[in-house]
Amino acid sequence: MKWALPILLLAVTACDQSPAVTFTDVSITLPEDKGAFPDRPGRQAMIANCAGCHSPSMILTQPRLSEEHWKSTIKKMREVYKAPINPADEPDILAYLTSGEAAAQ
Amino acid sequence: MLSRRALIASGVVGAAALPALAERFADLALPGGPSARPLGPIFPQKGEMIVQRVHPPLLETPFDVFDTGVITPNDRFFVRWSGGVMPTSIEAKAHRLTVRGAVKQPVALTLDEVAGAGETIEVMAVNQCAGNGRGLQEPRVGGAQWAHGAMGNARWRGVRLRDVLDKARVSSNAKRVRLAGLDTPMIDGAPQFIKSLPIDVARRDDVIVAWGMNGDMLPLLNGYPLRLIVPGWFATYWVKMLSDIEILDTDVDDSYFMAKTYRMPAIPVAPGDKDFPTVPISSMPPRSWITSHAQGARVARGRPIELRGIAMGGDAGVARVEVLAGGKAIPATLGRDEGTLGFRRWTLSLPPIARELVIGARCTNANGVTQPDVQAWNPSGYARNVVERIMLVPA
Ligand code: HEC
Repeated sequence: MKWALPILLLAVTACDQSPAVTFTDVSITLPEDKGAFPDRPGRQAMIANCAGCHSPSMILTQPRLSEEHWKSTIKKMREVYKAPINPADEPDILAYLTSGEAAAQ
Repeated sequence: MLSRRALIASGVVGAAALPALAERFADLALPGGPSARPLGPIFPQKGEMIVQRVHPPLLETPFDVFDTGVITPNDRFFVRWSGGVMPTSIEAKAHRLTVRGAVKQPVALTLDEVAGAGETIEVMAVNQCAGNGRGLQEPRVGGAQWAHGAMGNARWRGVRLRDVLDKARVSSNAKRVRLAGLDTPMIDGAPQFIKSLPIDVARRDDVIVAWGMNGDMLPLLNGYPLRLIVPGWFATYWVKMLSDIEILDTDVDDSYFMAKTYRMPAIPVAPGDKDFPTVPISSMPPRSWITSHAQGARVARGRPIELRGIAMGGDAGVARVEVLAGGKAIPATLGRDEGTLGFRRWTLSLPPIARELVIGARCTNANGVTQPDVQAWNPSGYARNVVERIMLVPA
């Protein structure tokens, strides 16, 4: 267990006679996401378009941002991440994103 | 704001004051909010964390953990997966690390072959997200809204990347080393999270392919079975669940996470500026924090104040830490150097105060780089390293 000792003044420490490492199988179960979009106008459009890839908290933790910023976010979701966002839902999505806790402060 | 901010003293406020989403919340005191984050659910192999996002996981280390020592425990170490599908199980025998591209002999190494590729070494280094502290930058910008806890310091154990590369006999015209993990994009056609390093960085003595973290195996959420360790560079290069290495014979990597994002302005910019030149984010600047006292902390009148904190030099060791107080820069005492590019403890006994006092810690690294007084704003909120200040209140 030589390697576990404090390492003085050295960024790199050689571990001679290092114990052979054993890689085991590891499996985890990720917790369920209980987060949800709070109810306000546009919520249905958010559920339909913005809930598939990440938790609502990705969106709900954002600070107050301009409508222009949110338009570019929607564009990025669609063009870079290939999100199937319904163009007809965009006004509702924007209304939702520019209202709410951070936006109201 | 002060009383609300003072709540970070404990890092925790009761659910009563905040939306009823979970039992306990952290208040990150982000300017303009929203600042409340649940401290649950609990993730496998993890203790209590600030849950920025359940899916894919974004878990922040509660700040009080940094006061407990220079090593960040594995079960409190921050977690950041990009938006995609991360595997939740690893079958050790089936895992392969391929080395291909500009090589003489492409290989697909088993985990045992990786572990046997060279000398096993241990390196202490700070792993910090490029966006650590993004939520504190003003004007605010989009992205993961971290406070200070998207960082941690560990002893990483593994073999040098160059020993792994040599298994494939890299050609002499190699320019960059591109790394990929097992996570894949959610939808076909979206960019995969791949990153690349210049060959001279990849071949450095302290750049390792690690399986060990603080004497244990890497937690799966931190990249088990293999993670790249690039001391002094931001975490975006520390690819998790490492499975593929491609040697490029060109200096230009036009993949999305190199060419389009994780980039810093090459010139000073202001909010609203467009079309400025940018460069890939790379090495870290020095930083330091006061960990013994939080914003608004009450201190006993007439008694010296025992300050304690941590510092990191970024891509060089910590040369000195000073506490800025009342127009003076008072040198702090550095703790033992346990690993040049890791966290370093500092302490200082401050004379008693009679009225409120704003103080901050300022680190200078071995290259002579000092933390700035004012943060240079950038549109992605990367590389925060301004002097972090708190107010002490005599009581
Ligand atoms: C096809 C999957 C997908 C869908 C659907 C999707 N996103 Fe995203 N989103 C992503 C990915 C991938 C990221 C990057 C996550 C990361 O880096 O951790 C992201 C990140 C974000 C971020 C973080 C800030 C940023 O700019 O990266 C915000 C905000 C966001 N999405 C909002 C939305 C909104 C609003 C919608 C609905 C209009 C939406 N997303 C739908 C995939 C998606």
